[in-house]
Amino acid sequence: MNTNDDHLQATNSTSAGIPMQAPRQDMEYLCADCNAKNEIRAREPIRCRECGHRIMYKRRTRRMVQFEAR
Amino acid sequence: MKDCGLVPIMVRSVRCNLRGMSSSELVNHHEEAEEFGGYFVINGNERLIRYLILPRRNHVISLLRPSFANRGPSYTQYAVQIRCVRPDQTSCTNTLHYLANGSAMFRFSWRKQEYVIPIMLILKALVGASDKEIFEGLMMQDYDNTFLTGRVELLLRSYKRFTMRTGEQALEYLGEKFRVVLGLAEDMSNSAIGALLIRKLILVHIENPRQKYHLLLFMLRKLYSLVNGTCCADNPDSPQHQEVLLPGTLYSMIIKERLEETLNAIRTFVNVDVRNGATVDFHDKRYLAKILARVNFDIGSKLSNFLATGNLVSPSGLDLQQASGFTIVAEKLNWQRYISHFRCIHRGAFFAELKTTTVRKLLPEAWGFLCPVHTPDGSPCGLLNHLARTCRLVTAPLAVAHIPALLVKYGMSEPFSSCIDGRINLCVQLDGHVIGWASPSVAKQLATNLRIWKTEGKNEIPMDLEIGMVPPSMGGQYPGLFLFSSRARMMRPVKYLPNGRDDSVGPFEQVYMDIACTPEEIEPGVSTHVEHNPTNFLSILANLTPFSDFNQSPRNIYQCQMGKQTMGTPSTALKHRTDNKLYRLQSGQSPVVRPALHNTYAMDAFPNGTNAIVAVISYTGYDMEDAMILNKSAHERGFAYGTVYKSQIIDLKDMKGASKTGAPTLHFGLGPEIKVNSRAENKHSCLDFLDLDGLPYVGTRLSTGDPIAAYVDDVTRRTKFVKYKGDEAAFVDEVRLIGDETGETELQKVHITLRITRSPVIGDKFSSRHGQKGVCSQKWPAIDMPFSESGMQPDVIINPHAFPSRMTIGMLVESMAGKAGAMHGLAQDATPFKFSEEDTAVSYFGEQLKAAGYNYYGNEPMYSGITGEEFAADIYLGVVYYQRLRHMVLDKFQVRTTGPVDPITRQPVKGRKRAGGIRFGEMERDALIAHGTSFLLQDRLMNCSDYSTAWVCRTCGSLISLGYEDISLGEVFTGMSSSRKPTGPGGEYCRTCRAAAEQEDELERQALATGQHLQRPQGNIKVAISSQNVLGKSSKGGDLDVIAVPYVFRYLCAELASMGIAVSLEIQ
Amino acid sequence: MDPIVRIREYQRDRVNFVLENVDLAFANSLRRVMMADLPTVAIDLVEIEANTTVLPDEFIAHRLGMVPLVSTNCDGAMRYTRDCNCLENCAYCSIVLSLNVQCNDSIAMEITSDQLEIQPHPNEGTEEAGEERVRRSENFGTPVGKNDPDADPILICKIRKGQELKLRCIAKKGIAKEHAKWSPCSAVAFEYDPHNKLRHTSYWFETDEKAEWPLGENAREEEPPREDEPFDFNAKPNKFYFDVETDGSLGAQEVVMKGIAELQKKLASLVLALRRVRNGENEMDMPSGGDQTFVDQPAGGSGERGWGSGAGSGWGNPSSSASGAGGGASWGGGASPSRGGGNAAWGSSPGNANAWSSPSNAGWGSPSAQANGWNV
Repeated sequence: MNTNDDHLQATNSTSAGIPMQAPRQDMEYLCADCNAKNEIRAREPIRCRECGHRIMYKRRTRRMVQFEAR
Repeated sequence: MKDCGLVPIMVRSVRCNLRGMSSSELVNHHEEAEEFGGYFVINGNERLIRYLILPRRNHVISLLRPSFANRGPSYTQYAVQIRCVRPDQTSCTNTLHYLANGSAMFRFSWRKQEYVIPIMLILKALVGASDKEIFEGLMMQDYDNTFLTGRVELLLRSYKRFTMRTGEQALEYLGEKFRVVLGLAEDMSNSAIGALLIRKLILVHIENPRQKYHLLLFMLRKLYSLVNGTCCADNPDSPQHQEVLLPGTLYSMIIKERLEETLNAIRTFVNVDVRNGATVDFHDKRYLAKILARVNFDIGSKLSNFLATGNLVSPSGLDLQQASGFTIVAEKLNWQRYISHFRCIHRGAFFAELKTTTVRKLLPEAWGFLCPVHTPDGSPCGLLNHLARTCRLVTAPLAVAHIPALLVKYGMSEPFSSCIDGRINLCVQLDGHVIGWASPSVAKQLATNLRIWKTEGKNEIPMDLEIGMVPPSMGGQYPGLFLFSSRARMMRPVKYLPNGRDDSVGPFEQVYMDIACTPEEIEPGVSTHVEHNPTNFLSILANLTPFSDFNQSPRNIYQCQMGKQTMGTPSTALKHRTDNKLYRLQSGQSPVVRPALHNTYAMDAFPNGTNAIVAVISYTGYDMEDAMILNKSAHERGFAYGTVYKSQIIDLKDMKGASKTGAPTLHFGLGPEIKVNSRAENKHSCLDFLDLDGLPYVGTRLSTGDPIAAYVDDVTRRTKFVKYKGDEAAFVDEVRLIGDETGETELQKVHITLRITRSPVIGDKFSSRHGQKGVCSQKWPAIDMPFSESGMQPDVIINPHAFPSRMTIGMLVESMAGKAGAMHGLAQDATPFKFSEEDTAVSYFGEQLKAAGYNYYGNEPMYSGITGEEFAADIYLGVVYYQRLRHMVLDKFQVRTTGPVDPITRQPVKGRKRAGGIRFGEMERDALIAHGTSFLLQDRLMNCSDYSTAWVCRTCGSLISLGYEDISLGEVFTGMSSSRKPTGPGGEYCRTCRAAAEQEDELERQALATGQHLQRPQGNIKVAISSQNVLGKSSKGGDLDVIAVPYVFRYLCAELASMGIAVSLEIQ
Repeated sequence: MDPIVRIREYQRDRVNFVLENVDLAFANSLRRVMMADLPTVAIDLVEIEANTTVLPDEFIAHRLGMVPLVSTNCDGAMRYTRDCNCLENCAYCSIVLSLNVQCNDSIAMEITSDQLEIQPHPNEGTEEAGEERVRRSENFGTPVGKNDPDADPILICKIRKGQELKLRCIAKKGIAKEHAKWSPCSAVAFEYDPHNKLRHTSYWFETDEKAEWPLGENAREEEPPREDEPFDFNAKPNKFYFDVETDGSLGAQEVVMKGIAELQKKLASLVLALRRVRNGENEMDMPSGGDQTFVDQPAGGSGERGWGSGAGSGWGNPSSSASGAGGGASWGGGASPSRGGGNAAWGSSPGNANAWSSPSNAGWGSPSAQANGWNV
């Protein structure tokens, strides 16, 4: 994980010319077409690894959301 | 090979990916299970081409329009017109005008320009007919008809001035005149151009010139008959003479024209090259490629543009009367609105501007084709109609080539036989071709034969053949046997009585038929047909109104409108939809009382309302004026609980600081300055809403001003937030990450669906299915609600005054039926026209109610919830299906105490969005004046608006000449008149008056200098005295007063001053 | 004549009885109290952890709120959260239920109220022991009909393969005046005078009243009016037919009994308040110092205040005006909310004064404080 991050930071800083912060972690998204889980890091292209679809859904948060039952 | 772009494909059409999919396959593709397509997806909107009413093709109609007389000298109001359609469905309208001198002018249009040709020229040019031939063809043995002989003689005489004998001469003449207009190849001969003109623009539905000639003679005969008064003018507003512009027809016409345009562009480039002497070599591939590169081939984008805007960009106008408004959005507000888009049919934008209301009239000819109920009220009333439920449009061509021969076999004379007596023979036409002549009795027999053959499938007569037998009449419609097999006609099924078979009937023939509405209405010897169902003349929506036959008719119209504004179930694939705004009723129910068609159309898949216990009682006064009281407990249990889904698209490309070219400089995410892992107390507040990717957590609750997304700017290296701007709390329902088309670049665009809960509040609008709408005025506690002996409490209380003037008896019947249905567990059939005077609905449902132990008429004794006392009257209590309309106070309320003002006038701004005020206008002002409430008037128009105080000069009365002297203690009064500067207490003075005073002083001084010593003795005093304490002349320019004026008045004074007008106020 | 209650039919969730020899007002008050004033337990907060069902979160929360929970003896067995001295949701004022369902089958699955499980309170036993817990029955707070093979569970949502719902509910005590979910009754049938002898109502009819208005069950209880019977315009409704149907959170018997008790409490607090007003007048008669003059309770309802002040001034109490600083001064004192002497002059317990002073308590009462005063 760490090595990965470092690597990415290096490439980013070279390509854009200015040092940039490394993406902190991969996020998991669901493909809108085939519902496959896709781990996409920040600044990676949005594309499903399974079917090539280019729309992703964000997953529902696992954080607790409180509602009044009325 | 040349790419013409991507043409939008209609959903579920032959080329669509969803074609032929079953419901389960559709669901797997995230589509509606009952997706039927028929629309285009353009920029994420579902758009469809609306049906448009056009004049019936290939049929000659006679017109009587006073405006025709203004077309030129000797033009009259009489004309006949035919809209001819080529096999490729493009059309061309030809008109034959009657001139006062007896001859006729043939009119057509070419590239939106109108041209007229004397009819004789065309008759000659077509077949080279001799004068005798034309005379005989027009007279048709009717030599005693002096009117006709006179006209034909005049017609033939009028041609003499052209001094052309043969058809070839006429063709050459035409070709010479139209060479420039048609813009054809320069090496074409005149006669070829003439022939082309006739082929391309004159009676284009016919190929053969001889047949064109026959039809022209028929047109002339009909025209003379119209002038003569032996036949009447046809009504172009009647569906009898109308057909429908099919979306596919229009679409293909546009494609064809775009292709033609492209080819013409190539020709132009080649022409230019030829003219400029450049080498033109068609064998040289490079040259061709060069030419093609210069031409715009993007037909796809033009079609997209057409569908997105509905605007038709066309040099020819496609023989249509409008250039815009062809497409509409298929709004998925609820299912009823959605499906009615696909059945709506517009008369044409041209007619919307017409001041006369004749085009809007409901004509008996429309019976069974256009719904009499389902039309909006207001400006599009009668112009925007909906097809009746069983009305069908013919979309496929029919095989009718064998019909002329068949009819000849059964007694029809051939068209070319010369000795036909026009007095006793009727013209037989098939799709605008004269195919023969027959006597009225033979024609009638032919019509009957054809009808029997087509219903029984004999002689290969297609079912959709329209057999319009117009019998001879005294001054009625021009007689004849007119057969129609073309596309785009409306047809509807009925039952043919003689053989009990299904028949298909069109609006042209229906006028001359006797169709009984019910089997009981069949009159022996008169009725030929019977309706399959008496409700077939209603549209789908009108059919869904229960017991609509009990209601006053406008109420059914209102229900058709309100059904379309209901907060219902728009779709079952909500999760996959990205509409800008969607309304959804969470607690939808299937109605207890429903017409049979509710099941046929599977409306239960998209519930549109809730069954409510409704008491008709005047209770507490909160149900006055169409207000309704909601039971608070019912509300708390989820009555009419709705949700609004709104979309927000965040595109970093449109943000400030985005790079227009090259790699993106903005990225979704959190910047380094936002500490993610820090402890709770110094956590950034955005982390309550945003995930590490800078996007909101799905499911989070947002209120105004909360961050909805975060992005980092490469340049500033700071995190910026996009804020949620709505007024209400919203939940993040879905976050879609949208990659670009190549799938190569990183995330730049997200689509966020927000869910806003809308439980009913006071001020929300509801309606029953009978045009009875009302707003919720109070949520009344359940214990205070009236209740029946069984402890039933109404969910809704409405006022009995809602009924007498509106006469929505259907709602009362629904109430009874619903109550009985709920008690017995029945889904009650509410199809209209099921009951009669002998077998009444009231007795049917009354018996059911009685069997359930209720009062026969649906009344119940009720008790006041507050005192427990029985009401003096019994109360009508039942179950009515209620719809919640999408008009909600939360979207509409407008309130303001203070707020933004207009910078110029300093009056409050207008508009709900800007927290503006509501205009207190002239008429409101009049009302206050009339009431004598002057203080209120001042409060509204002055104090609460643009109150301001201003200095006004008492001397000159000017508001705008204010100047300031920077003093606080008053002027140092030296006693020298020259340095005296009088001001007001704060140092203000009138610049005009001071200037005038100084000038006067100057003059005085000059007078002194020139030797006139009239100087007063000067005191050597130096005291600071405020100029207001100095009397006399010293007040010049310093005598100002504060007055309260509306700020706009000052602005007005300044504006007037700029035009050289001084406004002077007199201060008292 | 003493009131009579005659039970005609009794089932677990419904009771049908006839109430005789009471006023109409009393009978209706009983109906109102049973409907809206009996405390029950219902889910009030829903903490959703995972929801991949087709229904939105707040809608599921709303549906859960509607689920009736067994609330036997609720008024004693639980505290109102607002009366509880905990920070939030302790074991005395809340019950925690959880729901955690996933569907792994290819057929649609139903999430029902039976899948709601009571969770032991996290800090159970660490707090001081309260009497409330003891009074709770074994299944207190469980959804009605759970573990009952005869009762169909309440459907909350349907899910298909791959969907899940995981949440935690906090149930609280409340009454139906606040929200309908706390109502123990689904309906209360109420009828009097089935033959319309009192002519409170008039039956509308088209042709024949008898044919169009079928008589109800309750009409058998009473003599049909004779044709020649004269109209007794002095008669009052006397016999009331009740049918109380509950949603199962409270038993039918408990609803009626608690309803009567609740009504008693309400009347008691009213009587008590009235007595205090009368006592206040009596005290004023005594010649005493300024601190014993009539002090109007500032937080009392405006109506009561008007009455009290009217009594004080209108009846022209000479001693009051003679004593102390005189009428004007003592009224001025009354305007001050923190006059301590008032209570002494009233000679009643602080608890009662409390109940009187706060309008909400006067309406629906803190049970313990008012129960003490019930000795009239």
